[in-house]
Amino acid sequence: MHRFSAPASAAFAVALAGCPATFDFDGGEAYLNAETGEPTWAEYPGLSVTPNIDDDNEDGTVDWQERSIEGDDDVATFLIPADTLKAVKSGNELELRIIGRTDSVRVWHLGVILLGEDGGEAWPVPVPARKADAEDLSFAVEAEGQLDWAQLTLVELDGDEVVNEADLFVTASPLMLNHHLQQSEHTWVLDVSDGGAGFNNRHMIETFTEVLGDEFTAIPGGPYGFDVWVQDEIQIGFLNSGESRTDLIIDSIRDRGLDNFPEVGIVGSELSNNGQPLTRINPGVVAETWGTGFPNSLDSFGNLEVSPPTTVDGLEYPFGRAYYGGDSSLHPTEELTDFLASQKIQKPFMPDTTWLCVGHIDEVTSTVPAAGTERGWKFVMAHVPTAYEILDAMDEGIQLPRYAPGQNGPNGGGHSIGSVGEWVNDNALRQHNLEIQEDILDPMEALFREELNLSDDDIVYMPSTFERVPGCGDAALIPGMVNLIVTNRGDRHDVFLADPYTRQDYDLDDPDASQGDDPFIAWIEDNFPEELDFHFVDNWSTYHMALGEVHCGTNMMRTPASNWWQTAGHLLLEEN
Amino acid sequence: MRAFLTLTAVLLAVPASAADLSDRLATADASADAWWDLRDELVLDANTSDEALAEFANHPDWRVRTTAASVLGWRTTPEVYDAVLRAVPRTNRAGQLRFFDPALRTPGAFPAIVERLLHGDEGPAMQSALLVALVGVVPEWAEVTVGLLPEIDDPSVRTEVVGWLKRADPVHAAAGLRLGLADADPAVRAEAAITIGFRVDGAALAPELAASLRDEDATTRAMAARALGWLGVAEPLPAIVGLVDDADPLVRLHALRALRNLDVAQARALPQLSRLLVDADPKVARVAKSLVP
Repeated sequence: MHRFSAPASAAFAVALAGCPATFDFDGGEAYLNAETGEPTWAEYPGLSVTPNIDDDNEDGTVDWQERSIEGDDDVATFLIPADTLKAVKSGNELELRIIGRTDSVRVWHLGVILLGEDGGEAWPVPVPARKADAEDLSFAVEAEGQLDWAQLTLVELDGDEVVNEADLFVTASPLMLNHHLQQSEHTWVLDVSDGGAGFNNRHMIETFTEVLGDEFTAIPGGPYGFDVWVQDEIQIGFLNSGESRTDLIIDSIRDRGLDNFPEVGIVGSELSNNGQPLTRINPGVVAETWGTGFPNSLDSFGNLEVSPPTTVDGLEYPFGRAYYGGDSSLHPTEELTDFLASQKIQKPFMPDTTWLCVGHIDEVTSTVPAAGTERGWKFVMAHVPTAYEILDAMDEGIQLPRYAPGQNGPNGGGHSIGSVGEWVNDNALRQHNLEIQEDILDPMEALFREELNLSDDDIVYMPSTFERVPGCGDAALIPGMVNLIVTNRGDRHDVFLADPYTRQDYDLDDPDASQGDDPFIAWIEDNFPEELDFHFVDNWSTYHMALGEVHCGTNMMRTPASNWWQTAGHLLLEEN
Repeated sequence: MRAFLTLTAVLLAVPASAADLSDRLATADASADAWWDLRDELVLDANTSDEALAEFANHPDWRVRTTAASVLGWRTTPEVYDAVLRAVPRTNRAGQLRFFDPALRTPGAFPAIVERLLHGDEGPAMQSALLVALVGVVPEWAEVTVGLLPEIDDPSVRTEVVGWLKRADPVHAAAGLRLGLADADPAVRAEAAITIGFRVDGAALAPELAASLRDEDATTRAMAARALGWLGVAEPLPAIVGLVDDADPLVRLHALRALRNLDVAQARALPQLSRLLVDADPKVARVAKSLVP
């Protein structure tokens, strides 16, 4: 196979969205697998492009469908340099060809689609008769969806004979879900602070407002049926290339009160007749749903989490790995899990969470930044023995009014545990929890150690106990503090989690004032990375008693952490 | 839920004697409409005094008690009853309906909740919400829910009722849990076995639990073994030993663990231990390994 006689680096020059770069074609060629027709990614990922699925011109139509790229920021550009044109032998012809997912990729030149969808398979490149007249030819590439790809080949023809050729691979961004190490940009909590004594998140709203200021929005509860589970309805990730970025919200098939929140609360401000945002407030944000049919609890996105970066068996995952709970018979919709697997970049795995009443992985695991460690983060795992160590060290005479029978919640009035003594001397409760540890949490921890390559030092235990919800499964007894959310703003790391109320005296109007007396809070502050600023919020009535906690009730937009085309192309070579 | 009261309303136009009133309270018609009619008539009946109704507070039949309380309640605190009838539950994270309003968790609201439960023609999810709202509000909550148990059609609701008996007084818990262990639905039987294990007085139901070790449902067998192990009831040990050979891994797991709790020496000497160490179920194998010194 011949190469262009011109210097390889000049064969194609590409500009990555305002960041001009030269693409070196001497590095190899893109081959197609003879059996599957899929690329072998020998040149992977080549020129990266953000799928053009947003609505930059805010006209209500997805940009890809408009067949115009005017004003679009989600195209990648490349050049055929003047030097390449000058090197074409007199009498020969130059042709630009495309193969691959040609119905999902377009090559534009001077406002016209030349190749790919709505274009052809080859385009004769005009070669000026006088070499002195040659100028760089600029092209734009547009893609429709995640990981769409095409191989562009520039060939010099002497009659029918190819005498020179060079290839350029084009790859559209995969979807990358956000994790707890990325910088946070905006946080949402549904506001039910006027809900009265039995259903009120005033303290949580006040805490987020105080800590995050303008980077926090309290979503009005009424329009969304007071559905407080903001984590469950949406999962936020991003697509990017160069400076181009689209935030993609996966809109769950859960579809409770918050069903329209992504469309009318983040992407736009009102809904059109076809269910799409009518008035855009965030043109660079899109919402999509994978899956149909009747949802189960595991389709909620408290059950879809992502670790920060890790290396497993020598394979780097710069965007971490995704995981969701389930087993072979009960799991999230396969349309979504198959899609997540197809993105390859955060290769998902599935611990068993079906023993939980709600069944979400965020009930027992999380991650927090840990700047002083080699990997920069720690895995947080619910841990029963730690909780009992703390409880056993407490004076049995300490009363626990928040856990006492009576007016502490809708589930039979709360937990019905009057004192520390009552708790630690409840043999069945202790046995039940130790069985959970032995049968479920220990094996789950082993799975995470393997899948995320975690050592002892990488794990921090969150003291946790569980209580059986009749006819359902287990749920947090101590408010699930592992169900936490992290905001990162510069070097500041705020962690929001449930106030455990494992103390005798507190004022519900000012729970912060007594948190210094809580041995569970003290344990966490002593054992978690010291750079974390903890905010223990009162989530008892609205969340804990409804079988969720702080993470379940929040969601967050984050800044993309890394350039996938530079750091993660190798993962796309991996078999699922 | 089937209608609970098999009563016929015979309204008397003469001042009500205690016996007359008792008959009327205890003889409402089976249909919901007839019950509401009777209640309305009693609420408006000038011949039935508040004092007469109050005297039924200690009547041995909970249905009579709650009906009398309901009639009295509609006279004295109609806003509470109206609020209960109109109350809309919220959906918790597991998708269950639950009432979050603390006003429903007051003794005064109890008869109103029972009234809605009995005669509101609610579906299973709402029945569940109402039943859970009763738990612990007044001492007789367990008597009422156990009384209702045989008449609840939906097994998932029966399962919940049985589970909440963890918090019931000993007499009614025992009665309800016996019903649970004898239920036609295996999920209810399993929940009853689980619940007995959680009760400090669960050993009182050891014979029933021992019988459940032979239940045709594997989960029930497993939960019965687990409960006996937790409760330290060693009499059925031979039967528990037999279950370590059960075809179902959940049964093997809990039988082995119960054995570990009840007689660790016997567990360590089990002839099957070497096989259980390599059990196809990793949980079983893990418990077996814990028995190897």
